[in-house]
Amino acid sequence: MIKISAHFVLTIAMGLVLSMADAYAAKKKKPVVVLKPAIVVAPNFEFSQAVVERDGLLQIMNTMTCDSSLRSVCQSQCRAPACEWPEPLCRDCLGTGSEVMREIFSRLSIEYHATDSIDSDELIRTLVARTIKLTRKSPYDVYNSSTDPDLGSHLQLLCGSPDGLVGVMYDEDHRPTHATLVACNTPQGWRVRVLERKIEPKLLNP
Amino acid sequence: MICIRKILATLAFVFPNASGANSKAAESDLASQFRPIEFTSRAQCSINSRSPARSILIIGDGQDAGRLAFNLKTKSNINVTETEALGVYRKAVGSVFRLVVDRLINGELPLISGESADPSWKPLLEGCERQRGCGALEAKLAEAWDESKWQEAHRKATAARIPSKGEALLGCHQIRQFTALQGHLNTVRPRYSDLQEIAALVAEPGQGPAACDANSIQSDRHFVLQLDLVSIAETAFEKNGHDFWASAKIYAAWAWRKAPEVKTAMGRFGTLFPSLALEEEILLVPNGCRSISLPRCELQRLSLDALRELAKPPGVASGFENHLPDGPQADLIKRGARGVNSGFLGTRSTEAESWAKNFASRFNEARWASRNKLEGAIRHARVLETVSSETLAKDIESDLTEFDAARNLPLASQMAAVCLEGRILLDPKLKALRPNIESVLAAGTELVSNLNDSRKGLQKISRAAVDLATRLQPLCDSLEKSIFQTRASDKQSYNWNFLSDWARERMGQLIATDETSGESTPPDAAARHRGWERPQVYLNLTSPTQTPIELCRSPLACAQLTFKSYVDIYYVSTWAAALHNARKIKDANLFNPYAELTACQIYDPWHSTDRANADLTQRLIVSVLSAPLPIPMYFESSKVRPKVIGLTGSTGRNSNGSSELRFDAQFENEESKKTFFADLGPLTGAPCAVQYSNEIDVPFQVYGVSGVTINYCRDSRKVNSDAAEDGSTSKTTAKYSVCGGCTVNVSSGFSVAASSAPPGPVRFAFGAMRAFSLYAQATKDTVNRPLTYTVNPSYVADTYRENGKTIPPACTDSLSQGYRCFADTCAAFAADDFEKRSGLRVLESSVRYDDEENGLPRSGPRNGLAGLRIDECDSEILMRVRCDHSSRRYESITDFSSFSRQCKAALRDLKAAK
Repeated sequence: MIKISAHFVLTIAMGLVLSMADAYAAKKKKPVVVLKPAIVVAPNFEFSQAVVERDGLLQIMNTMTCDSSLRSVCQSQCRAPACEWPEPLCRDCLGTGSEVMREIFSRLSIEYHATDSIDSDELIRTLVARTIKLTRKSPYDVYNSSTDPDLGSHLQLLCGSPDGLVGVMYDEDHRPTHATLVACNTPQGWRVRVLERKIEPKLLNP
Repeated sequence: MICIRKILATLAFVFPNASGANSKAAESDLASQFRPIEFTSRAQCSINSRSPARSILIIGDGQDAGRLAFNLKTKSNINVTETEALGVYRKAVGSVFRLVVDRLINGELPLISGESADPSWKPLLEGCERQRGCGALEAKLAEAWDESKWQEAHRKATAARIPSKGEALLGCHQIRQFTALQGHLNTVRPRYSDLQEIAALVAEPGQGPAACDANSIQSDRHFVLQLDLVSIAETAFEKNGHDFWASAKIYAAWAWRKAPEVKTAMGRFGTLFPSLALEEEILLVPNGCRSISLPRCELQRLSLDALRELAKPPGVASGFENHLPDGPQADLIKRGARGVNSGFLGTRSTEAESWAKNFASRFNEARWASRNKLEGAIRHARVLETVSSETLAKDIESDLTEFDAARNLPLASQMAAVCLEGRILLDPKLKALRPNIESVLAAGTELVSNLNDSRKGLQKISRAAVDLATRLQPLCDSLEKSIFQTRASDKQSYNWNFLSDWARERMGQLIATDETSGESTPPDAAARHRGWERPQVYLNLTSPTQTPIELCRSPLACAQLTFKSYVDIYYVSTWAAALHNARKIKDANLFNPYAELTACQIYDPWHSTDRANADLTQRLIVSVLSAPLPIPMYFESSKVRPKVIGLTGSTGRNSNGSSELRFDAQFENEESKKTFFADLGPLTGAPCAVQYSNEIDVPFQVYGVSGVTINYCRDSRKVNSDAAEDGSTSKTTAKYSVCGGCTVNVSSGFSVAASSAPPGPVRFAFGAMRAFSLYAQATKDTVNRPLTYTVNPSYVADTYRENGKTIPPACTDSLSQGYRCFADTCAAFAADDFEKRSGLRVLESSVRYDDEENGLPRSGPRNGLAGLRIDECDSEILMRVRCDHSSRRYESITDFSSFSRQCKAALRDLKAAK
């Protein structure tokens, strides 16, 4: 079971510095955009995902607990300060046919880069209702053998820790469409980043 | 009300037969769970390809299910084994198809695809197919499924109460080994040994295939399931069968994710297995010559059928290996006529698992190669956002000056490669070197990617490649007049070392020859990909978190990357339906290459029959005309079927509104066949004849008797031409044949009589004899004339049990015609007809022929009176029949009748049943 305990501290300064650095490197043309107030938010919650056997069924279950500062958000999303919910159907995810899953498990940090942070309201809403959540222990990973660098190495590169999750958006047929965020449990607390498919080829000597 | 109407409408589609044979099938013995097995000749196989399959195979690969179990065990410490997951997966696949097909054949689920479906389904299917979302379709499927549950329960309750009501029956079995039950894949005519084997398999406990949901002792990693529609309304199914299978595929894909019954069948994996990509893991294959989807001469259908080549042993070229394939339509013509029902896919007594494993491995390999190409092309499309083709062309030109191409062999060589690659892709003068890339891209790219932005990327790269090749053409033209123009005495200023693999494959021997004359040693693949060592890297892939990755060493490398991506997109589009398009359960005519050969008009199954009929008519006319001549002389001319030399494509839209590339045959008229024959009479004491024909293999026969016993034929043939067992064929170069011969034996009396027959009616009679004899000979063609043998496993099992666990050899003929065992096949026919119409079992059947009294053996049609005995009455039931054993035609002339009151009562029921 993956357990990501997250105590968010208000790391305004650090958040600013990190986000600016990332964003500057990635989006040289418009570095000003990153200076949004959203980056200062640090959610206090616990999130875990595990495969459990319940009522004779193996299920991927997510668990989230919010502290007092986020209780109202959790209340609105889960109708309780803590909630547990099964992962939604992820169509074609168990197999090699989904080009999105293939890209996420094998090339996430090459194809995407982390940009802005995200506010806690939005994060919880996204986690609960709109995404498939992948961790390094996800049963959907049919791409990496036990000796390959797995999703954890991509998380490490994108948000600073191999422990975390990738949120993947899905369409109305429940097929994954793209990775939307990464959340890492770092020694400094949670780092949550929006992902953007933005890798710029650079002409060096035209 | 609507619901009831729908039920009635769907019930009208399928009525379970209420025959005795079928009520017998309602018993749970194994034999009754298989369709009668159809053995067919090549021509019949070709005809059957347009008919919907009644028996199919599901080839499955449980790799992903096994991998899931491994992940659960190693990453989540769940107590689960791969064996358990593989077994449950195999059973779940069987279960989903059994559920869906059972409800469809019993009319509980409506047909939703094709002309037979309610029109309200069409927009929903179109929307889903064209990837505008499947929500509305899924909601309607759920509704139909819920309704079907109630109807199924009602049917089962009724069947339990009134057993004679008879349900439409379905058989589902695991094929562990290809046996005589799949013998029709290996031979065109059942042999006695096949019947014995079938009998042992279905009548001996524990010998035959296990049910789909049975536990197995072997690995379930690769599996083959056989689904048999045992008892259905044949006429209605013949009309709607393709819609039936199209509907079954849609329902199965839905039920895999949503149906509670399937979830139950998945056991512990009920919430995880729905995430498996079922469409990727199974392939439906008709068990024989009939089809699941109507064969069409269209790129994606042909590409699916080309999967057949991957079922051949490893190492056999399949067409999927080529970088720039000509496409399945070109392979079709290249492979030409071939063997069928000859075990050409290695199904003779083979372990089904190892057979499926070989197929799945080759299929997966091709799929991965194609996916890598697609992924690479999509990635490169993003690169092009930075470097436009205009920039690239400009930078290439400036590099030539800056780095002095005239004195720089690697640079000039890579430029030469780029020029040649650009020309192959664009130059209309080099059309012969390349397939019709544009049409294939137009028809295929819709299918290759699930994502809109990826599709846009593919279009972008196609445009960029064409644009780049166009821009480079003037530069290449000028270089051909300068750097690339070398005299024999000059030191060569370039070589083909940097030519890409795909262009090398296209140029073949031309490049190989040239390369040997080059001075430098060819670089390895990695160095070739990199191109000439430009002092500074031209294009890097940068990322904030990673060290830069070199994308193109030089603008020329970028140009080659663009061309390569274009070629890769073409490859992927060519095989899109087979290797991509994960949204549909696929089906392929694996065992019948004549499905596409017939659809594309390359093979005409009726040609031999029509030609034999036309030849007979002509020979009779010529006999009349030549009757007055002094010696028998005949001249014949018959039209030869035009040969297909190519297939031209035209882009259009299919019934669901998606793009498709259809092909029309281009014919080349062949010279008509001309034969001259003259009977010279006794030249040297024995009667002699000569024959000349501009065609080979023309039968040399005088008056249709064994008059010419010493003869000599010669033709200009160099290579024998016919389908080999392995499916290959060789071409002949023969243009003519000449025959001559003289009679020396006693039977030459006929010929002597003929040659000495006076001109007039007697001469005509001999001419007519010759015509009929040649016709009879033509009808013996077991390859190109339609022929079917049918074996009903139930009848074989009954015979086996009733005869002390053996099949009497005398039963071979009647059992091979699909009838019960009777010594006379005509009597077997009469019994079969009665059983099917009455539902009663015939115990004895015999025929007394009208011509029996004269004692002479006869060929051709014979009339007679069939007498049948059944348990239900005390006397014989009679029927007049006409039977032709040589052409295997059996028909009833009158209805059944009897003198006995008891039997008449039975016949009254029969009439009601009729």
